[in-house]
Amino acid sequence: MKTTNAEAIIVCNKVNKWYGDFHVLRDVSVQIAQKEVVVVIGPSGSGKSTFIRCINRLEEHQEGDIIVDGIPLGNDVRNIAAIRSEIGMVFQQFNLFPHLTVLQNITLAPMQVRRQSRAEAERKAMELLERVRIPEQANKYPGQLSGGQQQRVAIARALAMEPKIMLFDEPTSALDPEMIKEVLEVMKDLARSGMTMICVTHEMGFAQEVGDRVLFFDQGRIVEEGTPETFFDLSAEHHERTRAFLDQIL
Amino acid sequence: MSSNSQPTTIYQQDVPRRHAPITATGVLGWMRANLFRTWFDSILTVVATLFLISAIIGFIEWTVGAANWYSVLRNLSNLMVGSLQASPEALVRVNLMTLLLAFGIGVSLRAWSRVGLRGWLWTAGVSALFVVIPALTSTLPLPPSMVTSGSIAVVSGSVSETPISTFTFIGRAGETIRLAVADEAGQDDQNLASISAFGDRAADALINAARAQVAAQTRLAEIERLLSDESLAAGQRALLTSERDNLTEDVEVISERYALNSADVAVRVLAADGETVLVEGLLSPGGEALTYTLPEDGWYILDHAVQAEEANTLLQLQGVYPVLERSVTRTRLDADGNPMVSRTGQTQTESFIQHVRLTDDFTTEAAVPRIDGEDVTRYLFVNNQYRGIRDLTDYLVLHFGPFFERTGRAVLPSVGLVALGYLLMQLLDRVLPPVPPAPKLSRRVAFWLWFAMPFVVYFIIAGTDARNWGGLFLTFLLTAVGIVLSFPIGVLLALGRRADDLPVVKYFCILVIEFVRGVPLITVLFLASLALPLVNPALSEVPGAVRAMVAITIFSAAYLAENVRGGLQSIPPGQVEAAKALGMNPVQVTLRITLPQALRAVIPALVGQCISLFKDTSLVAIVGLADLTRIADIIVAQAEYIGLRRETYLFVAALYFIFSFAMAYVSRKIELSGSGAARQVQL
Ligand SMILES: Nc1ncnc2c1ncn2[C@@H]1O[C@H](COP(=O)(O)OP(=O)(O)O)[C@@H](O)[C@H]1O
Ligand SMILES: [Mg+2]
Repeated sequence: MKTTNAEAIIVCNKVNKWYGDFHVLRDVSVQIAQKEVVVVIGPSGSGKSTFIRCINRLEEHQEGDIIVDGIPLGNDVRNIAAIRSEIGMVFQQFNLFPHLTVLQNITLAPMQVRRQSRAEAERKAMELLERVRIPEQANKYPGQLSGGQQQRVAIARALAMEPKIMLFDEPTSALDPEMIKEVLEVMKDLARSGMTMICVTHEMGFAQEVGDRVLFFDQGRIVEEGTPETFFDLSAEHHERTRAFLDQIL
Repeated sequence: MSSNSQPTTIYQQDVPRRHAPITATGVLGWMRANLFRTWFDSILTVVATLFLISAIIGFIEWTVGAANWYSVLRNLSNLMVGSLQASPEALVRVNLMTLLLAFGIGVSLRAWSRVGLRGWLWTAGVSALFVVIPALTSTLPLPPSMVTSGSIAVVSGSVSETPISTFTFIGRAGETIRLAVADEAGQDDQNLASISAFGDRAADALINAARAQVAAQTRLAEIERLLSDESLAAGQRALLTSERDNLTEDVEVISERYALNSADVAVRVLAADGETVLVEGLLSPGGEALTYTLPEDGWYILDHAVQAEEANTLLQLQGVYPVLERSVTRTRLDADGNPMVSRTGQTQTESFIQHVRLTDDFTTEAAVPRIDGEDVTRYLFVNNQYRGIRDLTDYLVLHFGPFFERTGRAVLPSVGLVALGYLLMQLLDRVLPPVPPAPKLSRRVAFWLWFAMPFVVYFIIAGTDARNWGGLFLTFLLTAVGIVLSFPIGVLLALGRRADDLPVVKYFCILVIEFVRGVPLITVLFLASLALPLVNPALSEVPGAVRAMVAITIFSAAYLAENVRGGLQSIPPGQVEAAKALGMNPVQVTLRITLPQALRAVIPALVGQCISLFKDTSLVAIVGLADLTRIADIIVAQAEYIGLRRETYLFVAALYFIFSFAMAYVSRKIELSGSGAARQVQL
């Protein structure tokens, strides 16, 4: 593990959340250090998405504390804005803005939220497109790109806000096998560059290569946590739910 | 499977790509796939085609042979601007506005689209029609006028027409009139029946009688032919024989019955005073024609007397045409030529009678000549309409050419301004080319032009009297104001209705939307025009057109709100989440993400609404406004244009269609623009 002793940038303490009367997150507590890459794994419906969406307040938790970079998440609108500008998020369905070109998708938030000049925002957008290896698509519309390209634009769009933390919610699940690799490459680059990342993904290769820690969710609880090496080692000791899950995917 | 040692089958042979078979592509393929796919399709296609062809032929026959487009030709400016036509200043303002809009369209064409060679050729070709057609048709001879001079009343059916011997007409200085006996037409009934000309009442009766006779003769010949057949059944033979006997009783030769063209006619052309004889002469059958060049503009009197006790002679006149009477209202001018203003601040108007020559725009305001204290008859020609079966030449010279000539006066300058706007912007883009990410300069010009347009138009229009607004102009104003104002209101209502965290706003919006949608537009119009003054008497001072605008705006905003709401609902929640995750606030999310996508998604619905708004403005007639449809109503109610409903309403329908179609066309262009092209919008 790279930075075990660094100060935690995300602190979740006994976080609880309900949808109506349905208890989705149950006493979720976790601390994530700066530059740490955390992989979140678990069966479908176990609350992984809900968990990471609580971190940038796309979902509201009802009990417990979430503190991001020293800012507690509550109903204070200014805190929410501050936290969102520190956190980038990448969605399973890309969620690019279809009415804007690739370049406009990337420059919109820096210009609107960070009040950057168009020239500045576009210069940086082109840098990011270089980084995700699709500078030639800058003036196309999302509808004209392949899924893999779209997801890389989505990553560039999130990075344009210069976030300290990146959240990935199953970024490769909607992609054809041929395209998964190109997105994972970009994510690995990002991890190596020292970005703090929380990734919901079932890509074992990715987890083992760049992951620092694996969190296993089941029915709204973290039932197991460990390094990728031990977590994916079937011979090691595991929670029964973990073992059942690993049996399915390995 | 039997064994896992069995190898996979490998197909090495490549199948080369070929063109699609000819029967599947091109016109042939299209027809096969769409018109003749099954037996049933083929039958439908044939039936529909036959129906279409017969409808088109019928329409053309009617247009050329019978339709009388004078109600349209004579009322173009009335149809365009209504009562505003009385004020020259208002006309200047309306023209200015039209040209400005045309210029704006030209600028936009360059900014957001591209006119290729084909576009220019089309434009030039269509514009040329407005020049070439009138130029060509004006070289065609005008049809003559047939006037009966005689002493026998002509009977046709239930009418009996005594020839009139003195009538008045108008002419221009330098025009030559030609008077002669209509030798050919009066020769026999066949010729008489096929006259194609203007005619006085007696000539009209003669033509109708001759037609009936020709029809009877034809039937007689037919009966004779049938009877000559030996094998005819006895009953059949009896029927035909009695029909023949009945017919022969009635059959007579019209030209003989009225002693047509058997006697000379003494003619005189008198000056408008009714006394000075300008020229006189004797016209004899087969003899010389009398020609005379008119000395000045104005009224003349023609006086003719047949030189026999019992005879009718048909005269063929050239240069003598039907005269229309028209009542005109215009701004009253004082001695210095300035408009006179009443104490209440309104410009005064005056009404007077004009006389207009049917075949052109020649107009006189001089009083009708009088003899022995009586107006000389000026309605010699039946309903001032054309008599007989009009042939193609007469149709071209009387209706087709003048239509293009008159509409050309509006179309040509407008097209010119569109082209000017386009070319100026092209020049601008050439001289100052944009630095790549920045948009073309013409686009910026177009944006600001249209942004400023409502204010400029308001400034131009404000100088006209809203009480006089009418015609297509009023229809446009109501539509434009309705669209421009209802758009922001409708969007706000839609956003308000979705604001779940602001319940007061939400329920207010729901209330407004549902209330307005729950009542018909007519009711809203009535409320605005009748009930508002009850709320505050000062409101009755607001012109009706403005009150109608308010009503239309509110009405259309409610429907627009629902359309926009539908669009907002179609935006996947992921869009808002992504925007929020980027740190955008709710206002930014709405303005930059949801609204643009929602509006784009509902363009077809919005344009549909604009089109129906455009047509629904015709309801304002009910609250006393003279929009395009109402003006048409008013025109066909005038004695002069009685019986010309079909022509008038057809023209009005064509106007509505042209502009609705243009709106639909622009909407398709907008749908296809920007990301629409990427999404491959289905049209
Ligand atoms: N908006 C919602 N309302 C009610 N239930 C929800 C909502 N979103 C998710 N859930 C439920 O919460 C549970 C956790 O969902 P989610 O976090 O998306 O799971 P995961 O991402 O692990 O598949 C699921 O059972 C899901 O049905
Ligand atoms: Mg999920």
